[in-house]
Amino acid sequence: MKPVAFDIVRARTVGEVVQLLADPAAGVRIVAGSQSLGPMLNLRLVQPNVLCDITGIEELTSFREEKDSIFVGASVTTGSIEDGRLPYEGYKMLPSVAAGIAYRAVRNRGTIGGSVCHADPAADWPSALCGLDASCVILGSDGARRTLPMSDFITGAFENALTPGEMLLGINIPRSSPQAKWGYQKLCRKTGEFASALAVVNVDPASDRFRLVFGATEGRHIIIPDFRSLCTEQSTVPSSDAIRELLERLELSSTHISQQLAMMQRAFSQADGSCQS
Amino acid sequence: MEGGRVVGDNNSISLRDIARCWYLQPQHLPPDVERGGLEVTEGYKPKSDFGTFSYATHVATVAVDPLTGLTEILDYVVVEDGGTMINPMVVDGQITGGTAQGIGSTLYEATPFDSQGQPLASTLIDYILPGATEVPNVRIEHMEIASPNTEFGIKGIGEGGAVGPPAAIVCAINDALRAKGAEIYRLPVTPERILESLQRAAGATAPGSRI
Repeated sequence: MKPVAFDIVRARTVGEVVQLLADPAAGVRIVAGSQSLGPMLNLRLVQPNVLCDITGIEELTSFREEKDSIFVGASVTTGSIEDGRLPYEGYKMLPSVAAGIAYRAVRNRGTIGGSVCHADPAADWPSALCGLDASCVILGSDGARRTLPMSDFITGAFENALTPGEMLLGINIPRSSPQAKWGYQKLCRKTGEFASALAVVNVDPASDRFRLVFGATEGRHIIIPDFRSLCTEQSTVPSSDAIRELLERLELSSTHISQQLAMMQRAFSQADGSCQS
Repeated sequence: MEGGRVVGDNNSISLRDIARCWYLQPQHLPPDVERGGLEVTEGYKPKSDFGTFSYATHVATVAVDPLTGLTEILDYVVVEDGGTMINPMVVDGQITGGTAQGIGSTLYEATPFDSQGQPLASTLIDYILPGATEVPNVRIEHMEIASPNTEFGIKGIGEGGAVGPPAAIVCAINDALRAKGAEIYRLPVTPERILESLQRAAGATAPGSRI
């Protein structure tokens, strides 16, 4: 359990980071909280020449409120979100999701951007942010910025859409209206473990948002951008049969489908109780 | 020795003062002091050479979620006869710690291999151990029936708690599953195994279908 020998560079600006990343032969990996990368280094699943520490770059450790959204820097820690560092109104789901991630020691160091880039299907931030219809702000080595919806940023299990030389600057999360309802439910065999089933419900009629996301799949998230088409006439909750059929088409095991359905039902119950008005 | 004091020709000193001097003020010890220290070791042979077993009954109350397959331990009681307890705190520790181990082997711990013989649980990321939130507050009652065969009536207590949980917890789970015609008899009892047994029972044509 020892990593290979590597150098560490503490970058001061994002320009410095993409400059380092520009040469694919240099073997540079970005590190922030190191809560996923650390174990991978120790198992030698990753063998970098250089680790570029981005936790000293203010642009990445801060957040910025915009008109209809908030930009959260990639190096903002989960623990600080749990502690209410971000505004609560419009973003009520975030501290609650943060508080349920692993253990406090992990949350103290682990970052929202690191979790998104690691793209573990069973992790919390990728699923929660898919549910919130967030998008990723990416910087290329030529200095150009582009934005990708979270659902396109995560391309598979432990795979993201970053091309060589690119880095994640942060995440844009749309503001929810005061009438928005949300539910976030995950199934863990043990407190702090990765989820084995996960459902996110995001209902915000003011933004015409009726989103349902399943995480903890074997690959990409299962995203239902508008679940109303799966509801029966009398109900505002998708029918279990319709969801079951959808999950069966994706070749999930019957036990996994049962767990995902349970999480979905509980997420909708939670959403029903989450409306403050 | 007289009344806890060592008595010489002209003076005496308490055992307490000797101990304090030995451990805290060794500079005051005489140069020709016995270097073996203040330790005494005694051995003895019990009347019976066939072990000094303790006895216990474990009872678990569990909730099984038929949708997720998760098992939650609601209550756990151990009644243990460890004979005369020399240090009750250590006895309770052995029972609780052993029960935690037993909960691990019942619900969590497994070392699976894939078809190529590759171990699938080679780190604690994959090998799940019960933590503080998975081990209930084990309620312990002591019987303290002195062993006729040992000094002081003591009985062996080490790790005894590890033996009971698989039987107690699986029986409780099967009691919950019985109404649905399902049964579990393989460890660890994972959520998947519970759901498979329920699904099999729901679809079974023959009664008593097992996984």
